Amino acid sequence: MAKVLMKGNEAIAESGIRAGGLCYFCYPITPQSEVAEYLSRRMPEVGGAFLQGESEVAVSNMLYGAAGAGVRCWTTSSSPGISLMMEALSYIAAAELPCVIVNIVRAGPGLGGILPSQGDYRQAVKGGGHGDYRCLVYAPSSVQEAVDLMPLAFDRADRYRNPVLIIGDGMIGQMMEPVEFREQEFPSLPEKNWATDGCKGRKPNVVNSLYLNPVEEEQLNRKLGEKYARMERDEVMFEEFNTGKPYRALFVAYGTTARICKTAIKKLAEEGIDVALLRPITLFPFPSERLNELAEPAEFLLSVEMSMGQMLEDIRLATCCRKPVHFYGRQGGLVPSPEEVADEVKRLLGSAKGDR
Amino acid sequence: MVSTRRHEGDWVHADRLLASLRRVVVFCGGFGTGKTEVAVNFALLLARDGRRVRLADLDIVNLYFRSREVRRYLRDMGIEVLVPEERLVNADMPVILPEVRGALEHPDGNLVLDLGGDPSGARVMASLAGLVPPEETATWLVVNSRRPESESADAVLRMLASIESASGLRITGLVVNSHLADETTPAIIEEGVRLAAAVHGAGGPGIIFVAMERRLAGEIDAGALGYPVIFLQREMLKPWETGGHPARADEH
Repeated sequence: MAKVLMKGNEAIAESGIRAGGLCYFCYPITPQSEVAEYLSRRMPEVGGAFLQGESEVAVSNMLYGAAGAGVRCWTTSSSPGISLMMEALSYIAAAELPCVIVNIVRAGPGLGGILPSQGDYRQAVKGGGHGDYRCLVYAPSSVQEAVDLMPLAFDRADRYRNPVLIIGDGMIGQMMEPVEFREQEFPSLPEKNWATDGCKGRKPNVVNSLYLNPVEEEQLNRKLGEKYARMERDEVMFEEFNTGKPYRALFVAYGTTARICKTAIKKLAEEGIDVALLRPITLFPFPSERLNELAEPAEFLLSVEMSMGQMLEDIRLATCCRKPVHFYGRQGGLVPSPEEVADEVKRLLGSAKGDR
Repeated sequence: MVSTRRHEGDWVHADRLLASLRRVVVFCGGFGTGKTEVAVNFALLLARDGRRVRLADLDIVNLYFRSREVRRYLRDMGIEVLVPEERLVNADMPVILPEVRGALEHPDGNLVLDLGGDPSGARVMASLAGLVPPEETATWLVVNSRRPESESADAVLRMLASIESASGLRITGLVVNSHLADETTPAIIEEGVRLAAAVHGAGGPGIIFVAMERRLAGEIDAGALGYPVIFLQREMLKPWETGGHPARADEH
């Protein structure tokens, strides 16, 4: 199929359908409403289900129900809407159900604004909902990557029986880029013999997250913990940029800011300053091991975010605080420019030498 | 600040294009066809040609990459930009300025209207019905053959009909802006010209001009396309893209 030009939100919608996500619930919110608009048109054409709920609370519980019935289901929203889904997300994780949730992040906290942000890093990576659960979290940095990650997200949700988040800042949802939809092959999945899809001739399946027996609840927590450990072992994804030759500093950035760092790296190289980039594609699991290796030759690390430095703790943990970890970011919907980022590197290199 | 000399490198067959020009020029089209890039460049071209130009951002559908993002640059270039007041410029609501009504009635200079995409974006014109004088208005549909909904001449004609129905305007010409962002090739532009010619052949309006990025000027014989050509300087840049003009982020 020839490449076409698509907006991130439309492309995510189309890729979700192609990945078999034929059951979609939503409540519109800027800047991701184009996903819902697109699917309201497309789902009837492909025999899927499109349902706009009365709120994000309703939508997330529809997701809980549909996932329990064993169908590939998903939703998309933006920051405040995702917050409203957190209770159900915890239930879905506890009941070990697969689903995909896309968060096209906008400026916060609170109602915030409609411009792009990465301020939901902690919510996505550290929990958001209550209890000992985690989500596998993917962070695309182009429309093509968002398209490619959708089938993977559905596959991993089914394989781990766990919710999978895709988080893109507003830019990923709103910008237009060339894309192609490529077939992806995955090994076959285990049968969903736990689904509440009719029990004629067998014992009913039950989807529940209430445990009155603390021993059973502890067993669930430990089982989930093992699952998240398996994700940390098997699911780490990242991209390296400019790491093939000596470098003085290492950027750590995901999504849109990683692309800004790449432009900054090219600008700095013209001035004879070599800087490399590690771009986490999975935010959980975080690419800690590789980051620790790449930090070794660098004088310092610089996290570039459209938030107040929410990723800093993970970077410091990964590198055991062996290197200085600095932060540069813009907030509120503003996006750092490559020039600002390059200037910050030069300022830090200058101050490291003591001439500033 | 504004040169009144015609820059020959900006366009091909400028006189033919200017013959199609009317006092009011409306750029409409499917979502993501590049209306804003074309409208902004067209306004800049008219300003460089020594004309008085107003540009109104009537995009009430899109949220990012609207012409209001480059309003300061356009103002520096001598273009009067009609966008919502600063405190509402990023508001998630459809603001239609009273000044646009005034500009439609204003007799001198050119008014360029940049509509939002699809029929839903064009619907804003219905609220200005009666103010747009048909004989003084050119309404041009921007076509990009690389958008999924521009897959055939029939699909473009359907889009044209639904935009006409939503806006109350009659579309008088086609603008070919066939592109795949950084991956645009001469073949994609030629494909767009063929598509638009097929639309015209099937009863649609004719091609007014072909738009292409300036970097492609050396790769394609623009004169041989047989239509006026405008070379675009990309202004609606992504944050990591270089070129254009600085300090866009701080325009918010």
